[in-house]
Amino acid sequence: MRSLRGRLLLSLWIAVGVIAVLSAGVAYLQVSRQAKVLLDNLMQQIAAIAVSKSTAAAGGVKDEDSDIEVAVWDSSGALQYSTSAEITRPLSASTGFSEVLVGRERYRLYASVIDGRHVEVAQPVDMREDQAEDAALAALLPMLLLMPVLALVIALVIRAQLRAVKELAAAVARRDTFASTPLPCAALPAEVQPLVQDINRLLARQSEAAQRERHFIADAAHALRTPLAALQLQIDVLDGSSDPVERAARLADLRDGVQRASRLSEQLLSLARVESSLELTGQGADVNETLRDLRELYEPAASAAGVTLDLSGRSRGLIRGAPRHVILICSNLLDNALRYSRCGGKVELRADNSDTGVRIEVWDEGPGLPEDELPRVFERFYRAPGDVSTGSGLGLATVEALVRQLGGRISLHNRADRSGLIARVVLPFAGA
Amino acid sequence: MRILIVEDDFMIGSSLVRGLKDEGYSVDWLRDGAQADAALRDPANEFQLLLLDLGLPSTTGIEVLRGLRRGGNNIPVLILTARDGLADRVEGLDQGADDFLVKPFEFAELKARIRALARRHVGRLEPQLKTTFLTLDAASRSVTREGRNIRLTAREYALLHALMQRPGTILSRAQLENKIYGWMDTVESNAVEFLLHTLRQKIGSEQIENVRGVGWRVVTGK
Repeated sequence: MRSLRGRLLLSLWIAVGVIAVLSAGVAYLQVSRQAKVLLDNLMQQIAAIAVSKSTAAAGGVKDEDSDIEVAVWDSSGALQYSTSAEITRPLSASTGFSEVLVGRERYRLYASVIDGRHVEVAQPVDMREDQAEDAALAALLPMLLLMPVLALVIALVIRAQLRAVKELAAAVARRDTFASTPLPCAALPAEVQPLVQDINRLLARQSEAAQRERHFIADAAHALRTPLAALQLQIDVLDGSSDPVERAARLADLRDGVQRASRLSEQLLSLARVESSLELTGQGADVNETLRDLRELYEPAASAAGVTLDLSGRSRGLIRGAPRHVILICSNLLDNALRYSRCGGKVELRADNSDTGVRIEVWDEGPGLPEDELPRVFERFYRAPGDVSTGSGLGLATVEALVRQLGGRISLHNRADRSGLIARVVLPFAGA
Repeated sequence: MRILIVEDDFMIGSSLVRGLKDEGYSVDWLRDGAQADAALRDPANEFQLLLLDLGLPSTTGIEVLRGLRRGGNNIPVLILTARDGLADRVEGLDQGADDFLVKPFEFAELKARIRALARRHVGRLEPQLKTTFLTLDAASRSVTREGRNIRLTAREYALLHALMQRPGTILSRAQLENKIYGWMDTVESNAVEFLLHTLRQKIGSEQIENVRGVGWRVVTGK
C-alpha cells in the first residue's frame, strides 16, 4: 500500500513494537536480578535473626509455608537447631553465598559465623527463579497493557491529521473536467499547502489556456466563413457564362479564392502554434543571416508589384529563439508592407543593434493608419475601417504573440510626414 | 430589376455581381457602408432590392439599414452575413430586414430568396408574371408565348421582366434604362430601342405597345 497513512501507521507500529520488546527484555532482566539481590538480602537478615533467637525458640523463625531452611551450630560444632531434617551438619565450610546439592534439590546457600556460631540459610534455586520471574512479569504487565492503547492512539492521531488531505482528494474527485475554481487549501497542513497552491496556479493557467483555445476556435470558424462563402459563390457562377474569356476569368477568381482559404488556414495554424507554445526553443538567431532568405522569398512578389525592396542588416549578436521565428516575424511585416504599397513605392527592412537587443524596422510608403487604430491592429481578425484588402487580420496578431514570447516588443508608428507606416520590433539578445 | 449589393469582401462581391448579371438583373456593387447610404438616398437610383452585408467597414450594415428605414425607404432588404448568432438575426430582422442568409450559402438559394422578396414586394403570390399571351417564370428564367418557349438574352429578359412587373403600366426610356443597366454599364443612346426591337421580334411586335412620347407597356390582352 502506497498510502501515506498506511505507511505512517506501519512504520510507527513497528518502531513502537521493537522499542517495547527491547525495553521489556531489559526490564525483565533487571527486575529479576534485583529480585534475586533482594532474596539474598533476606537470607542474610534471616541468618542474623536466627542466631539471636536460636536459644529462645529453635525453629521459630521458620514460617509454615516458607521454603527457606535455617540451621545453627554452636562454636563447638554441635547443631543447635535446624528447620530441615536433612540438614544436620554444615553444608559449607566457608562463609558467604554458594550453591549446594541437598538430596536431589539445588539450594542457594548463605553461610556465616556470628558470635562464634555457624549459621546456614538455604533456599531452593527453583523457588528463587520462580519468585524473580513473578516479580519481573508483574513489572512488565502495565507496559504490555499500554501497547495496544498506544497503537490505537497513533492510528487516531494520524487519521485526524490526514482528514483534510482526504477531503481534498474527495473534492478533486468530484470536480468537473473544466472547473477553474481553485482547490480549498486553508484547512490543510502547512506541508501540503504549497503543493495545493502550485496545483491551483496550474489550474488557473490551464483554464486560461482552455478559454483562449475556445475563443480561438470560435474566431477561426467565423473567419473561415467569408472565404468559404466566396468559394461557394465562385463555384456556383462558374457555369453561368458561355463566353470562354469570361469563363477563364471566373476560373482564375476561383483559384484566387482557394488560395485565400488555404492561406488563411495556414495563418490560423501558425497563430495557434505560436499562442500554444509556452516556451520557444532555439539556439539563438542571427538576424542578418535571415535577410538573405527573406530577400529570396520576397523579391519576386515585390518586383511583380513594382515595389523596390531594400533589406539592410547591420545587427551583431544572436537574439533569442530560432531563425524561423525571425523569418515568421519579418515575413508577416513584409507581407503587410507590400500589400499596402503602391506601384513604384519602396519597402525597407533595417536591422541594427539597440541597447537591449536587435531592432528590426519595416518602412513602407502605404497609407499608414489613424493613430487610434495603431494599438488595435494587433487584435486577432481586426481590420481597420475602410481596409478592403484581402488580409486575414491574423498576421500582426501572430507577430505580436511571437515577439511577446521571445521577450521583445513591437510597435507601429506613422511616419512623421504621413508618408507610410513603420513597424518596429525589438528582440532581446540570447542569454540576456 | 435592379439590385444594389453592399459587400466589402472583393471575392464575394464580384461573384455576386457576375452571378446576378447572368440571371438578367442589373447589379450595382458598393464596398462601403457610407457610400451605400448615399447611393440609397439618391432618388435617381431606383433599386428594387438591397443585398446587405453586416460586417462592413466604417458604417455597419445595421446602421445602413436603420438609416434606410428611418428615411421611409421600403426597398426589400436581404441581409448576407457570416454572423449566425440568434441575437444578430433577430436584430437584423427587427431593424427592418426582410430576409436573412448566413454565409456560406448556395447561390440557388440566394436567387430563390431574391425572387420571393421581389414577388412579395409587389404583392403577388404567383411565381409567374402573366399577360394573356405571355408567361414569364422568374424561377426558371423562361418566357413562353401560348405554351411555346421563347429564348431571350439576359438583357431582353430583364427588359421584358421590367415591363411585366405591372402589365399595362407605361415605363419611360429612362425608367427602363435604370431597371436594366447598372452604373458600370455603358448605355448607348438608342440601346433600349434596339433591345425593344429584338425583343418584339421574338415575342411578337404587337405584345409591346409604344405610347408615343411617354414610353412602352406590355399589352394585357383581350
